Amino acid sequence: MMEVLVLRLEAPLMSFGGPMIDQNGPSRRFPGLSQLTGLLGNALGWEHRDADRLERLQSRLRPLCVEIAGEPAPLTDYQTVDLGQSFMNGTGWTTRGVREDKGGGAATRETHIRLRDYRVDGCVMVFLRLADADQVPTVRHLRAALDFPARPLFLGRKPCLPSLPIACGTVTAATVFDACAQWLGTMAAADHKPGWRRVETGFHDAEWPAGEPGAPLSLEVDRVIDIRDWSNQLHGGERLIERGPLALGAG
Amino acid sequence: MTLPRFLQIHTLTPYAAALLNRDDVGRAKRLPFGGANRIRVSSQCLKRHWRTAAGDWSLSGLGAPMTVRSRRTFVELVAEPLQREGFEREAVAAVVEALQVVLLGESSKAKAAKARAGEEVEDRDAFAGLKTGQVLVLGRPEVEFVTGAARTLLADAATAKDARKAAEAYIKANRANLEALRLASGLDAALFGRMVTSDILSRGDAAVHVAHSFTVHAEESEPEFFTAVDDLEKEAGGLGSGMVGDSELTSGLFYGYAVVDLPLLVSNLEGCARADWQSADRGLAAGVVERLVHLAASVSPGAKLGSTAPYAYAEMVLLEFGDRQPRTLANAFLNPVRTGQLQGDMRGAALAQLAGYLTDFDGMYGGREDRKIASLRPIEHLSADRVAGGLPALARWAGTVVAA
Repeated sequence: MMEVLVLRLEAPLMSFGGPMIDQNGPSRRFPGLSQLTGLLGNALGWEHRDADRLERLQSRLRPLCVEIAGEPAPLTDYQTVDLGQSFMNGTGWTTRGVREDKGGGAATRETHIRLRDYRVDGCVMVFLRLADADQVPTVRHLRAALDFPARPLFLGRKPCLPSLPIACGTVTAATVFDACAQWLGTMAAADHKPGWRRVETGFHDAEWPAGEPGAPLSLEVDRVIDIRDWSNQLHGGERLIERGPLALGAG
Repeated sequence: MTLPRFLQIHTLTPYAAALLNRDDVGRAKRLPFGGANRIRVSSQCLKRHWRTAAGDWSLSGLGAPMTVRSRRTFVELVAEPLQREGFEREAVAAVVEALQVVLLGESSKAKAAKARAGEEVEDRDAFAGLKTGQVLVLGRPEVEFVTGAARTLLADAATAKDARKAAEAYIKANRANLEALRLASGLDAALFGRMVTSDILSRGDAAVHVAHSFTVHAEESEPEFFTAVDDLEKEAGGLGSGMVGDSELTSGLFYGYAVVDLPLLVSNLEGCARADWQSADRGLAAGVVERLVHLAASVSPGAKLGSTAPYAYAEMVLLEFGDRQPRTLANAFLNPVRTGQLQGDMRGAALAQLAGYLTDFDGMYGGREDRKIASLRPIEHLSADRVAGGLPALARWAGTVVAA
């Protein structure tokens, strides 16, 4: 039996960042490992420089992500940036003593257009277990940190402030899939309140680490690059995930 | 008493016949929510207008002479710690003052102190020249960097004179980087963050999170057809129509939400470590918070100023102080407010939905943040204390909580 942390990711706009191409910032359908690590690290009060701790936590995460509701197409936000603003030029100081600039010419004058995708009108539940379960932080530490976080929590980008407490509780179960069935079954059977999303019975799309024990039949296996090298502040490294529908009944 | 970590600011602001924030084709930005499209104002649009707002409650007003008081960042966080590490007081003063000059420009006290240097003043406070009257905003990364640089210079210097020489040589060699540090710091950066470089140790994070604002009801939009008339052509006998185009006008009651990370705000403003925020001087932070409440309630994010005059004040401002994970109350409007509710009183219906949702939320999650509200009218069943004295009193209260 294992302890599984139940997370509810719900906000009017959420971003599950995928690889960026030029000015396009797409969102994947489910949060990646680096995003979950950052979210938990934020709650725990870790700093950007705590690379070792972040790396260690990232390597222990085993999340089952389930879509509860959501618009199929992401919202693309059109943003313009005036590159000539005073704080954008000549302000790139570093502790190495070398100033980093954007460059000259057009990079300091014109209007840059950025397109950023968001998942909207949706909710994703994450059933998270930790490898090396007894190592600190444990599931209980994470739960406590999420309830009273060191900093405001956000889902992808800083404006993506959550609608509800992210930590819903912990479940003791044999697998994350059992934990999911237990928890969502209870949610589906509960009385519906206005202003709260209904959890429908039936099939829900889900994503989990390839080879996760207790998994149902998956529709596809995929490589995702959602691991961050926290020491070098770069994304890199891929992992295998499986995708498929999870059947949820009531009760 | 421990201070609360988070301040949440909720607003409801009505705008009629405006086009506040447009996408790439000139239509109002939208957001699907609860199955209905809402009109939206983006986070970056709101932040920009709050940052650049002029007026009584502007952020730039905090730098004005009448609000300045002596700032002791260089003394308390750089010079004194270095002296405690064992470096000689005169040497520390020389190095830190040299760095301060670059980061601030000459302070008049320093100039006067230098002028007196030739006279024998036995009990002259070596650190007196470091107190500056300017509003100085250096965050933790800056303070750590300056302290580290000073420490290296002091370690290699035998006398105070050598230390000053070494400092001047260092400054000469690193002028561009130090200039950049000076330009990057500031009230703006403390609140809303700044440019990211490849160096994680110099990164400054925003202390204010601003959510995208959106209408509590489904979109109400009207195409706005317009013509531009050519008066000269008309006079010459022509038909006079220069151009025909269409735009969009939207109306709505917008829900806005922002969170202030108070420990990070104090750290960004005072240069202390986040963990030490409760023992730091929180006067400037209190002033910032008070102004932010006013800005959130009164600054329009609108465009098309000449043709729509999109100026409005919030009809409700709800503040919450607490330590629990901050959360938007957007789900109060997950079911969009409909015109049929409450005999067409959309405002009343929106407030009733908000009050009901907040009560349900407290019932489910227990406990309660420290809440106060300023509103046009009292709101029934809303689980918050209404302040007498309206918005000024509410904003002032927020400042006193932070300064306590």
